[in-house]
Amino acid sequence: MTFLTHLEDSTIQRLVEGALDEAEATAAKGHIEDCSRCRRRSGEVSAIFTALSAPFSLPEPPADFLALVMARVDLEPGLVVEPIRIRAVVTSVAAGAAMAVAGGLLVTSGGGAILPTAEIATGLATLLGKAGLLGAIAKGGAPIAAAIAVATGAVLTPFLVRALRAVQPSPVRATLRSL
Amino acid sequence: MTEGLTDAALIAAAARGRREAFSELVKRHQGTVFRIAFRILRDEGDARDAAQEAFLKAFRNLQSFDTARPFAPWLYRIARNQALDKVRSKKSSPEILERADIGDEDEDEGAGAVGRDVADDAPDALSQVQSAELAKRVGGALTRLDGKYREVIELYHYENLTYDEIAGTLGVPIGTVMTRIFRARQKLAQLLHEEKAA
Repeated sequence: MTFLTHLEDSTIQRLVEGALDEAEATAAKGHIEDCSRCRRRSGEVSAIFTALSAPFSLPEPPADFLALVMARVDLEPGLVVEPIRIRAVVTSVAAGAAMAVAGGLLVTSGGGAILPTAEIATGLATLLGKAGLLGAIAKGGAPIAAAIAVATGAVLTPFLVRALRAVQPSPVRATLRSL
Repeated sequence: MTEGLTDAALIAAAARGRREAFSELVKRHQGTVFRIAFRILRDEGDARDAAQEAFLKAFRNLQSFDTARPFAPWLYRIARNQALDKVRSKKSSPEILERADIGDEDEDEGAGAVGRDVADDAPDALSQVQSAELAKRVGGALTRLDGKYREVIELYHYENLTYDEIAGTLGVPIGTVMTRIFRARQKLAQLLHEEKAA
């Protein structure tokens, strides 16, 4: 393939852009070597491409742009809180309840070994975290401890929720509103 | 947790109302959306407002979005339309209207004449200037291009969108995008020559 006349501007642009196939590119380059006019125009197009590839300074969105958008999205109906956030709250409540149960059992036993306190606390925390409070009770393990956990959780949860409301940003508040 | 997901996966989750998924989409596209609006409005405050409205509009319409299609051009098109709406609402500013002149008039306008009147024996001026100076001159020439040509050049060279993405953003066929980019470069070359001659 050879170019007997001057290269079209479109051909030169595609050559510079690397969009010509190999045969066309070879022929175009061969023509440019022998043709001062096409060589000059090719140089111009290359220069424009180079200039256009230089960093171009434009303002970036403000730092709080994401927060501003999401604050407005939060007001939209149909938004679902993230499961991870629900899990975090449930796990916090479960851990608090389990710790209260463990403490209560220690006090009840007077420091002795009436009940396997640590095992019950650990098991409760796991069960409460994975299966939820009702699931733990349904499994029937340590029913007395579970009953205490229910009572403790019922007492502790409102305080925990109030505390989180006071200190957490809007996503968590959205979660808490849905509880 | 959402960083590694594709746009399509994030859209599916966001369409079910998952806040974090939509937040990640905003994070990914806020720069381009903001700049598309800024290029039309040339005002950071207006661009911020238009970009915010674009994301909200996208969120409200996620349910009807076809995830088989690419998300970015759809979102960018919303942003562009939001910015143009803002321009229309500021009709008292002729300067803004002139800058935003990105209509879809006849593609044949001026075709063929551009760049063809360059004297064969003109010195190779462009190759003799430093790249920074050239970039500045090209930037200046860009502002004198018609809006529809400037827009495709900016989307292609500065935002690195593909022809397909630009076509989706502008709502025109891909052939039109290629033609506009080709003519825009021709016009740039012509403007630079005119500047040199002056």
